Amino acid sequence: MAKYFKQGLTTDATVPKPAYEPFEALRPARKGPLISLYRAQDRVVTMGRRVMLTQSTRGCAAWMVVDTDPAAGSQTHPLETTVRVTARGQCELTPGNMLRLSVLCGLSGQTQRVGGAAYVADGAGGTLRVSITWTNSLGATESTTHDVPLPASGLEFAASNDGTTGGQWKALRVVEVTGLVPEAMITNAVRNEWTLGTTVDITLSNLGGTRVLDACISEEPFVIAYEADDTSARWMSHMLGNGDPAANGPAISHPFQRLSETSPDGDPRGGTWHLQDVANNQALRLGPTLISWYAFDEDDYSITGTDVTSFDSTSSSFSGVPNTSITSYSTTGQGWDIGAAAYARPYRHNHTKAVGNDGVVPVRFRVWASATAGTVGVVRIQSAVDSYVDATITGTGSYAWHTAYGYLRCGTGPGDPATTMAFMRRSSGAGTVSVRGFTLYRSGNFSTAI
Amino acid sequence: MPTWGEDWGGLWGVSTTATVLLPDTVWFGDSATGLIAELATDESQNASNMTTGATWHYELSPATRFKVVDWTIDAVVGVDNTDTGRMFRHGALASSDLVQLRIAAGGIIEAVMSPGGVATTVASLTLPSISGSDQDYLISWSCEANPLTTGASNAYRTELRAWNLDTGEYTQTVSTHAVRAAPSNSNAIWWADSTAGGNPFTGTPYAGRFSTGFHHSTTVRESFVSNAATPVNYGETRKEIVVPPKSSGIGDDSHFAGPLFLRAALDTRQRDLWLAGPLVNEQFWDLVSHDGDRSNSNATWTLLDPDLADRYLYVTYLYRRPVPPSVNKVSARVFFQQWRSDAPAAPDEVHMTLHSMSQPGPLYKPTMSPAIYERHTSASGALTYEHGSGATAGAWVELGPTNIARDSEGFTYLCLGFRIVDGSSGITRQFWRVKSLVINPVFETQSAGAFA
Repeated sequence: MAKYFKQGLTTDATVPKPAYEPFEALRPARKGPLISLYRAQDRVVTMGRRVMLTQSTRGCAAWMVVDTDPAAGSQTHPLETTVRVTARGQCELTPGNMLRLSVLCGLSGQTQRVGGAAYVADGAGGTLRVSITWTNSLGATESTTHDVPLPASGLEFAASNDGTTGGQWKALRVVEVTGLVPEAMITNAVRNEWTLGTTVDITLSNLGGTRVLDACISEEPFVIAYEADDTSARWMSHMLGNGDPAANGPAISHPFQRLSETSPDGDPRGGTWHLQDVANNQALRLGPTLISWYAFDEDDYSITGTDVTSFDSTSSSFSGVPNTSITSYSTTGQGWDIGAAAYARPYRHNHTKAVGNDGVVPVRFRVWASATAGTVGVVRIQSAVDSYVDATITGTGSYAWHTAYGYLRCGTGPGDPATTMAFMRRSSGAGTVSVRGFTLYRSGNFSTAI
Repeated sequence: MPTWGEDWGGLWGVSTTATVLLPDTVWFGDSATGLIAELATDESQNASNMTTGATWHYELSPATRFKVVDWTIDAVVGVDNTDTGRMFRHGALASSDLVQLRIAAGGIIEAVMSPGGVATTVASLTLPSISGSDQDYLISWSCEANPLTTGASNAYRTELRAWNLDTGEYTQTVSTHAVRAAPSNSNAIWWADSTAGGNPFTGTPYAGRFSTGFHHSTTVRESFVSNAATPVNYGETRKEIVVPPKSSGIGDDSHFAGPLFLRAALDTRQRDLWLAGPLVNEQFWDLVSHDGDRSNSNATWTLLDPDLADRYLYVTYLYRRPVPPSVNKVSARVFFQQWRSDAPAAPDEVHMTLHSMSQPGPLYKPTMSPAIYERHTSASGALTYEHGSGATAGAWVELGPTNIARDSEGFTYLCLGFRIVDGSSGITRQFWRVKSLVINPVFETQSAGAFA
């Protein structure tokens, strides 16, 4: 019979800062500091709030959905039913975390429908659609879709604002959906299934007259559950307190290897072995998301379009993405920055003797791209002249995720910048390589389900 | 010769803080002039010298320190496009555990293994700017398990790299292959293929290093090419404090538990920021050329800040993002482009600030906002660039740490604001663009001013 350990993670967590002085030499052993250490390991997975996917205006200062009369006859506004993809991302979840959606938006504009031979007004309103394919560690999947209606404008022609200076600031609204989960998380067996390793494939789409200023899908601590016989490489929390990280744990009278050697259904917690496993697993598997980019551009998106305009290449020379005028890496050029990855530097690759004034993290680079059948392309993510990861895009003619693993220079922390650029080129064949987006995140050398 | 902690840069003319002797280095021999007697002297912690040949050196079987399946082989050499030969070999040519690094004419570097007993080039590259003239190169081959493996044939991954030490150019190639078969006892030879000097390396060897783990390119660069300058961190930094794995035995019964608990406590203290990634990490490409009178910025999208004279908040750069609970500041980096249409007229001062707010500006209060509007603003410098309007022009601007105002859900509203001070030629011809915006999490301790 399965034996589970479960913790709810939705309440505020304290920062994991266990005292280390009680463990220094010549100190008598005390139970209290030890319990604090185990509980601190439990709180690590609650510290993230990782940003997984976003849709912003991308620096534009005009809406796709215009303020004009929708009854003009021709199509000037989007249909209510056209699904416009605005962002995609693929990433592993932090164990114990699920997703939430925050939308900062303007008031939705008009839509149209076909009325006889002409386009006519179909009312104001818009919907944000979040489609997620969840894949667990066994490769099993669940698909969920959440349609989130956004508030509509009551102004003439459903205008975005009243036309006064700063008028857009009056029209802002916030919409939230919390607890995006793959299925009802009622039983510990289901909770355990999604704790052991979950990859999410997220698509954000707009329908109707949406005016989204900033949609952000981020992680939120939810619930974590392990089974007593889960392999030691999977435990990312000590799970000392059943219920929540602050709950009372089992009685510990002296240092154990683990509380129970029984197999199956023993108790791996409360001992030195589990302490070691959890510490090593956290360093190997946990880390921040660094870049989630999709080629969405608010005011250039076609009202009849269903996906973003891709960045294409038929050249064997690298060109920048998204700034195609950039052809080679420079620390002083336009780019992203992955300096925050320095908070998650693993010891093995950052020994002081090896990289005294610098830092490196392992990353996974997942690219949503296509290439003409028979054509092969390369998409590169680069954070130093001699630090880059290439994803190979093998031509099938269809868009798919293409994943690469490698290491990127990230610096040492705040104030030590890590300018990061992306490039693409065709490496063989005669067709076109097309890129619409990518996700970059810190992830160690371990195998995942997809 | 450099030893542990010494300055390798003395040899190559660069400032060095990292060393060539790493914890997993089992062989290191070098010579500034390519003398084989010096190259055969082991400066690693093993301190076990090799036997010298005429232009090569070797260690007779079993050469156990090279019997590994993960490695990094580094070679510093002087070569031109006619040079050939073997730089390193361990494992028998006809067996399945061969590891061989070699160069072919034309500056082609080949990493060779022998899955199934047949010598196979698993990765190759051409040295950057190889020519008929002798140039110095650093060549590095690292091998580790492939986390994206789908079977035995791609269970391992190789990174083969080369730096041209004269020009600063770099290239690398990545490939996958089977794991090296369990290494058997074998001779190990540097700069030839056999203890008798078969297929000798015809270039000039300056250094050879063998390490028993995968090293990424930054480690190799720091050892042999150049070092990063000492960074000036304005917030706390984090790095794993290694906890010995269970296989070490340190956590077994009958061992003192104190040292393990101490290391685990130190390590866990590093994890408060471990998951903290950038709150905003954006590039823009359909650029708005903001102007001094905000006609291109869409005046309805800009809002005069009620508390800061002449400063406008731009809704284009407004975000609502979650803040990790262990963070008390954010810092912004902006790739910024500024020019005047009537240059060389004197540029106006553009003052750019990052605002962290508990609600989206002063006009709208969502239900999750605290009763009192809280707002923090970064320090603002006067930007007077003249970058021109080119597609790649601009410069990074650091806005520095800013306090965070959160709403009840733990989110903050982040926004850029701008103020223009006339440089005497009129602000309507002053333009600027925001091309990148990065907002990173920061934790400042009290001593660093977080609670000042």
